[in-house]
Amino acid sequence: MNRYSAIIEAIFHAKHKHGQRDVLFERDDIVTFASSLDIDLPKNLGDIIYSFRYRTELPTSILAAAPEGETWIIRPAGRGKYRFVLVTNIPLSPNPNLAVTKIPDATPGIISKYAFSDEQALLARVRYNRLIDVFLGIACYSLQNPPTDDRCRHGSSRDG
Amino acid sequence: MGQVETDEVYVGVDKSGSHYVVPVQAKGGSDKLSRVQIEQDIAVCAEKLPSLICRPVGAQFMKDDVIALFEFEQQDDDIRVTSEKHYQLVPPEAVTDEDLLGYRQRLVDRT
Repeated sequence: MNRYSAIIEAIFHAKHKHGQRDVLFERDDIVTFASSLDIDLPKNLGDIIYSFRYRTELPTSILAAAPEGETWIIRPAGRGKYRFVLVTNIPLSPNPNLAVTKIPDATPGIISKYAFSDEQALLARVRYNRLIDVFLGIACYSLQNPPTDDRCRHGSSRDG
Repeated sequence: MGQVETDEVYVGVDKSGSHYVVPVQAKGGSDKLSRVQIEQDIAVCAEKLPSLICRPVGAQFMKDDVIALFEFEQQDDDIRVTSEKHYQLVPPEAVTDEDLLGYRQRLVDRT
């Protein structure tokens, strides 16, 4: 477990009581719990929160404390304050009854040849066929693509 | 926009000149789109590009080369689908006159 996970886990388990759907904590708690765990604080305290809000899942022991069909996330709760909040986590599945619209495939042949049924292949097809423009009715431009090493990867399906 | 975990980010412009940011979450195979990831996408856009209109999109591979696209919005602390379309990528000759006639009658989407 890395130090971010250790700190956030300690804060959650110290403050969460069974049945609670909302657990408040403060930026200062990061300092307190890091010190009690004898963990060196990162230079940027906010990066711990940022990491769990935008980059990675919360530690397993926190997710395990959520009821079926729900999960914990972190939301801001005012200056220097945050909340662990329970939110619905039912997967979003395509409606099998929806009509299909045919689009002439504009994916370059070489991309089709080497693309596999994974996220990167999907994103490439969406991009080459301008499906975001078609779907939203606005002119769209890709600002941030997946990393190159992912796009060049082939031969095995992406796990996750 | 700094590197974030969103699968792909588009920026866009409409006919009136408004600008949009479109975070796209993509899932292939048996993976499912996640509400939490979409909420994260929305939060990242609000932080990095607060002046743009955020229109989060999900893309999922289905069978027979069909791609499901979803548009989401945050409503009452939950992520809801506001629009869903299924696009099938086919050779040009596979789009028939009957298909095109059918699409012309979907007037509800032209508004």
